[in-house]
Amino acid sequence: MTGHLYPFLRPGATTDEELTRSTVAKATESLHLRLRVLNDLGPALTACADALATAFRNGGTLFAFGNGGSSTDAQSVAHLFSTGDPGGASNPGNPGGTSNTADKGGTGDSGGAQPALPALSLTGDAALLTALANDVDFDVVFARQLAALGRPGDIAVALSTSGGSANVLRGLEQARRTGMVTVGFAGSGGGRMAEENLADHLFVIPSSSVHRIQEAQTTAYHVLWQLTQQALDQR
Amino acid sequence: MNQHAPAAGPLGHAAAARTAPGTALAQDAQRITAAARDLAARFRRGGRLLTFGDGPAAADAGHVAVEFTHPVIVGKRALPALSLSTDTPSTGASPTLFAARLRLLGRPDDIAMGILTDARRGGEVLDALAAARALGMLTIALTSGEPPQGDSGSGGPDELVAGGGASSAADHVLVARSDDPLIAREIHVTTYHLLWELAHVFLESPDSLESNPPGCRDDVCLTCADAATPVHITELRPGGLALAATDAGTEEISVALVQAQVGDVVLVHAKEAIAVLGGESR
Repeated sequence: MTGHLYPFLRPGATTDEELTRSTVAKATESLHLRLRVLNDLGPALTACADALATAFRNGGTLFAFGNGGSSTDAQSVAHLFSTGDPGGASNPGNPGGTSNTADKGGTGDSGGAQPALPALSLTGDAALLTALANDVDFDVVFARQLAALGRPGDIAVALSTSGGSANVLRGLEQARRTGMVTVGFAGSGGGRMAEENLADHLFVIPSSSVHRIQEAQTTAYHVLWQLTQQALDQR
Repeated sequence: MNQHAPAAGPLGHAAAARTAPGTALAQDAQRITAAARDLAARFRRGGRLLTFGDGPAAADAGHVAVEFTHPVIVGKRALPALSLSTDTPSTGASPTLFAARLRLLGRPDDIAMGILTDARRGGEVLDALAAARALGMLTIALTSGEPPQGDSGSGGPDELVAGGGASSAADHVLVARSDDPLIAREIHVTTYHLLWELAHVFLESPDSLESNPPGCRDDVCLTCADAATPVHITELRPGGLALAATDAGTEEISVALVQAQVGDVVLVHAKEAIAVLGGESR
């Protein structure tokens, strides 16, 4: 079963050199994909950041959602926007990152703590998720939350590697009905998310590997947060 | 390295800042492979993976747990992993209970993976790693440090200011070579994806590890099957169980998730029937 992951492996022929070489290749592929995404999707990320800045300036709230590994990415997006804090060595005692006067030194290129913005993940509440999945259908777990919580001018950030998860797509559909700014992250050609044009700002990672897609999406939403903070600074 | 013309402005800056840490990760391939080998050996002994992370890395601890227990690649077996960071009623607002939770749940054969992206909060993760080590667990730390000087990539974790002193806190310390916490986090995501893949390679390659899990024969054990296997239901038993005829004998499986009858052919993954293919003999 390792055939499609490690096609060079034959039974009994696994050597450390082969595995190391393959690991080097995968790490390098990950880097190249990240650089390609920044290069190719950069202008679209900048345009999206401007739209998010406008929405936040007008009092909008960001809602992030996805399944499985992408649900943890949704939590990361919500954490980053809502704390304004990329982590790092500075600002002890200011984990909330709510202060504009925080020390911005010593945290590398992320620039240290930034203003906190209203952002929530729709994947963290087991009571809600199990209630909706049990009582209605798993396809509605995000759409129903957005129908209840979302307001026109809010932001929906959908994360998927396939672009085909029914509950994620229904979340985007609901967000658009509500009049929210819709942002979609996908891979593998974009799936239905791309075919049906379900996101105002769509970022399709050009890879068919779930892992490489997630890795490049991480870079894309980190940079999206930085660009959003810069856009907010500029007025 | 970058085949694209460097863009100006923040995007060009973002790309440039990622090149050295990404290259350094590739240079750490041997360390990652070594950690995965030990990880696989512990799984084979029946160990479980317990993950935990500081503020921003709590989500990554959850990601690692779902990666191992529910692989994205169809046919990969489920490996036991759980995140100590996702159970908020147990850990509350404070992660200081990681070590206590670990002492409660951990067993000597288990693996502890601590993820540190934020040196300010690294203490709780380091405490938990120390507790894991005291229990005899295998310990793996994903941490961050200064970028490598020059291009040699030879600076090992011991030479780095690694996540507030993690350099000696774990059996395997895998360092994201960036002082930017967002970029360090991105490197961690790639690192744990690689660890997952390599652990499966080691588990599936009989020559690379010493022994098979107890009670399994290569040709029969449905628990260890890497792919879903079609089997024939011969008898239904109480408690959602059933006996299934395989090419190599009869095994007990669970049919709790499907509506299966005697005579049905069901698809079994990890001893659990996941689909009814049809009633062959009815």
